[in-house]
Amino acid sequence: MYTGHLGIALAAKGLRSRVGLWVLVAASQGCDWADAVAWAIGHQDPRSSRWLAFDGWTAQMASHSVPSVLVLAIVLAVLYWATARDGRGAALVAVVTLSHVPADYVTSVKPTWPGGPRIGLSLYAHPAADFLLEAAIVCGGWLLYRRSLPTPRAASRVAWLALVALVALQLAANAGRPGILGATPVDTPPSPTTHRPDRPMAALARRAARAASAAADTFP
Amino acid sequence: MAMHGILHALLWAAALLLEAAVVLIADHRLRGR
Repeated sequence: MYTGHLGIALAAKGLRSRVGLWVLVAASQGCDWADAVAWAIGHQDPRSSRWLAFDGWTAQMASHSVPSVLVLAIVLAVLYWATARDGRGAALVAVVTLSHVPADYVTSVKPTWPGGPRIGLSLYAHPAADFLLEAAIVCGGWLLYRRSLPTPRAASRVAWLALVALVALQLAANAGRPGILGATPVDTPPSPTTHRPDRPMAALARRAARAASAAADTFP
Repeated sequence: MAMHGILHALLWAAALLLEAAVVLIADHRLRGR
C-alpha cells in the first residue's frame, strides 16, 4: 500500500489532534523505511537471508513480518509516551504502526513470521482496483483529518490541494508500477491467497531429486 | 545488482518522502505555523 498508509495517519490525526502529524506519518511508513534501508545496504532480494544472521529471518521478514511490526509499534509508542506523556496518543501511534502490515496484506504479499505462510491479496496486480481502494482510504482519512483543523481552514484551498496531490501521487504510482510500488518478485505470488514458497521439506526433496538425477548421469 | 538495489531504495525513499512532504507542508500551512 502506498498513500493508503497516509490516509490512515490522517484519520488518526482527526481522532486525536494532540499527536503531531509527523509522528503519525512516521508510524504509518515505518515498515517501508525499514524496507528501503534493507535495499540500500545492498540487499536485492527481499526473500534472501544473506545479510541477516538468523535462519529464515529475511530482510522483508525484518521489515514487514508480524513480530517486526510488533517490535516497531512498541518502540515508537514508548518513544512517544516518553516525550509526550500521552498514553492514548502512544496507543494511537502503536495502532497506526501496526496497521501497516494488514493494509499491505490487501495490496501485496508479505511474510507473516519465520516459517509461517506468506499471505496477501496482491491488489497491485489490479492497478485500477488498488487505486480506487487507496484513494478511498485517503479521502476517508482526509475527511477525519479536517476535523482537527480550525473551522475556516478545513475547507480551504490548501486542504483540498493536499487531497488532490495525494490522490495524484497514488495514480502516478499505480501507473508507474512496478517501478514504484516495490518491484519485488514476492509481490506476484502464484496464488492470490496463501502460499509457502520456501518449505524446507520441499526444498530438500528438490535437492534430493537433483542429486539422484546427477548420480544417474554419473553412474549409468 | 548492487546499483539496482540502491536505485530501488532511492526511488522508494523518494516516493515516501514526497507523500509525507505533501501532507506535512499542507498541515503546516493549514495550522498557520
